[in-house]
Amino acid sequence: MPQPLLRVQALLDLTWRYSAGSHFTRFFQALKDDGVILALRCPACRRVYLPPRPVCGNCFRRMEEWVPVGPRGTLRAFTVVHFPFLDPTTGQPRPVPFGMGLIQLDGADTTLNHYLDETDLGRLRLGLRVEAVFREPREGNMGDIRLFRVLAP
Amino acid sequence: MTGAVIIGVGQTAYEPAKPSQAIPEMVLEAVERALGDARIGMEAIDAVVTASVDLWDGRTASNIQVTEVVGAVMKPEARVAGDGLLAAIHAAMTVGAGAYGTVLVAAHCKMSEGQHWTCSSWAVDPICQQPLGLDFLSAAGLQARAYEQRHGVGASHWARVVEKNARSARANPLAPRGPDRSAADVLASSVIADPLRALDAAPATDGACVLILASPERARSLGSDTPVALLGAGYACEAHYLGDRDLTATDALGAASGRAYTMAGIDSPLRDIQVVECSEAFSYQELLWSEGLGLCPPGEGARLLEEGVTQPGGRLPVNPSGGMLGGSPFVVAGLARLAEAVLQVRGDAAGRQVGGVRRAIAHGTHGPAGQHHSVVVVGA
Amino acid sequence: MKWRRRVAVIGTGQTVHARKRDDVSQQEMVREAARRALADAEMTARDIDAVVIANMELFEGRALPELWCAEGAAGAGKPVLKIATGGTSGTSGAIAGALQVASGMFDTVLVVGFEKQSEGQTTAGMALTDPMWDRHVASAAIGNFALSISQYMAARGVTEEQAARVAVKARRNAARNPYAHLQQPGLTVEQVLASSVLAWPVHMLEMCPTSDGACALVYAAEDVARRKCATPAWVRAVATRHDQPYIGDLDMRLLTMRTLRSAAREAYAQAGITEPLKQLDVAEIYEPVSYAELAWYEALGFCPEGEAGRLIEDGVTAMDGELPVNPSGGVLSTNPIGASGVIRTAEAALQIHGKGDTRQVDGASLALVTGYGVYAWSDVLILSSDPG
Repeated sequence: MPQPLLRVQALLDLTWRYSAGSHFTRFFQALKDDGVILALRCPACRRVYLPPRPVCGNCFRRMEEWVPVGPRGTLRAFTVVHFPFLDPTTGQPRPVPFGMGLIQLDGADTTLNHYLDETDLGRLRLGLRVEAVFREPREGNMGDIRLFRVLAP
Repeated sequence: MTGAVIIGVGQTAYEPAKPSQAIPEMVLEAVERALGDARIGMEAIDAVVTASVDLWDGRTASNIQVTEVVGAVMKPEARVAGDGLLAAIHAAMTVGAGAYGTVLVAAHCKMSEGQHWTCSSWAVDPICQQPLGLDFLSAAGLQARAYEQRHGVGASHWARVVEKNARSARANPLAPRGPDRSAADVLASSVIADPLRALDAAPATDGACVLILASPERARSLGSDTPVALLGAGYACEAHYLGDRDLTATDALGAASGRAYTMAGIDSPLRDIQVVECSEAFSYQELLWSEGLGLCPPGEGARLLEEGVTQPGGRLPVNPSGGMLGGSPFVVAGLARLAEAVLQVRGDAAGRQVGGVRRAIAHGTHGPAGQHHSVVVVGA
Repeated sequence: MKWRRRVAVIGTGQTVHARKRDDVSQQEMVREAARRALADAEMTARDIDAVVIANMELFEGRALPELWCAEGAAGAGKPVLKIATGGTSGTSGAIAGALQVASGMFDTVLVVGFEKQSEGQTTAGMALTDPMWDRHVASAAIGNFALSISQYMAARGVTEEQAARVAVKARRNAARNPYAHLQQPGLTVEQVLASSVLAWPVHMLEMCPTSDGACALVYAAEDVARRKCATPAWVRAVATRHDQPYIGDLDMRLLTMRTLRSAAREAYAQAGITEPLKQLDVAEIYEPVSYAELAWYEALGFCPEGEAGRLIEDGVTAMDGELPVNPSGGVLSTNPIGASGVIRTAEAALQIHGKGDTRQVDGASLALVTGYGVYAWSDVLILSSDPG
């Protein structure tokens, strides 16, 4: 086995200032000011999209019709994570276990990937009703939705 | 002949920042303009080639964010992580191969969102050069000094390139608004990487450029009435370590342009070409790239400029759009040069039109001190 | 397929893939694969007209890495271009190289895919997702797959045991591949299911590793290929589909997988394949997790919907089955991201070349390659000993 080579270390320290753009700005404004989750409807296929974006990718049509969705929804997928992934919001490994799901908010056609307040697999199944739990006070970013609470049947 | 023609061009305005736009909506603007220019709908696009660099965008797989706006949903797309002109050349090859009848090429960069020079240090090898603090700026400083020492052409000459291109940019409705820059202004600006001064460097800008390529047959069936042929293309990459290169020579550029000229049947650019759009990230580079493009012998780029040859009204105008110095972002620059070259051939270069253009050159580059070059010849 | 001219893979080469290739720099790692591919094609660097590099540079914390690493691939002075499309980078690069030769611009192209994740911070690279939306959850590929798998399991009834069999097949196949990263000749279903759960229901031993490695292909135009290679692996079809940018956009991702279905349909039509299970001799498909391979069986038409579990249980895709899938061990055994798609292509090509050694599928002459990346991007290539 050849000798390991010497290593040169370098620290990548970069800052990016991302523009939210008009669609996310409107979305976050509604979230912050009114506690409302907004989605966009494609004029052609009528699909209701979360998150908002300039065009429906299937139809290549600009979307301008904003529709409120949620805050309740249906669980369309779930998992319980045991691996401490890097949490991009903290830069630290996220404490495990944590529940995650794909939630279809009432009125939306796409699903939202978010945390669940449930980590017991025995109590998770597709079709459960869930509700967004907001952070107070709201700041106008995705963190304003802290997680989804599984509703009692 | 590469087997491809260009049937549509779309560019956003280039601005120091576009804070109200996220990348997808910025790119969408250029896409819609290109589709409108080609008079086709997105359903007519067979495939997409994008150009963007993850580190500049601060996003892994930076083409994910533009998938929907470039029409790549349920279509073939490939991303070339480098200068946009290279993406156009690759797209032309896919058309020439017979794989696709139409290809949309999109390049974007929002330099305002990142840190250009710092990012560029991560494009330099991590073992020998990056630890020394080498980045695209310091590499350019080294190249500029080497050029000056070899040819006796220095800052006062390069400053005139800035003057020329800044004035040209004022005639380009897409270039950022800015004051005229005289050579004196350039020489009075602060040193950033000796012998280069602040105004010798292309400004950081945000923008997107989209071109639509097609096979000649498909262009006809789509009713395109102004297809511009991609007559020749070439690209080449030099050695990476600066010490392995002669920074005053233009080996990769010579190889790239030689290839493009052979394909296009160009013997003498000065005689056979009517306009050149090159990517001069720094003022001295317009002189050096002019030599590498074979417009003049080595060291004579400044003479060409002083004799008025490369001025807007001259025999072979270089960068009537204002070039990169006029405001053209990293990654987008080469594709924007091609867009400008196409507009020139079509007679559509409002405000910056050169008379009697039959053939034009577009050039793109990336890497430290022009390590990689792409050259395209277009014509009616 | 009305390509301007025929193209074939005439040589392949790869590094020994490992968790950490501490013995080589990125450039040297690229060279290891390139040198082997050139030797396999009986060519020298001079014979190569252009180079395509496939790599997801953010995982090494780099930008424009081909400027440095292409020298290891005979790239200095040559036309060099880098393709980067997430997990599909390798197959994207493989398709790009083939198209470049087909165009007539170059007669020979060397494609090298590489990744040296041990030199960067993959987790940091993976965290640079959409800053407005995706970045608020610590999901990563495993979490995302687990979510999609919960839908797939519920709809198709696949069991954890069936999925574990995919991992067992992969790692046992890998044991006969001298280049593979994870070689586990004695792996059992019980061991897979006993390994720690990463994100339910995915166990550690059925998820792909992170690997350092490189893989290279030499493409040649028809006249060169016929001259240089006894059995060129002709490119009979290529197809690519990308999809919408958020996981939530994709309806029941593993079940529908519209990109793979559509790309396969197009590729099969181009290559005249109507019964893939019967007609294909070997398949190298991109399976980041065990369940994905089952979903791909259905999407690729190897079996009717819901029958993927039966396919693996019946050994149809084992080395001695009707259609060996991933004799190399697949992505489940080796995953240097930028290289993985090139490895699939190379492994399919070398089967046709008859150079599969102890993993050779006898008489392999028609091969399927797939690439997968991001949430649901798909590439499909078909290689054949028959130029068509």
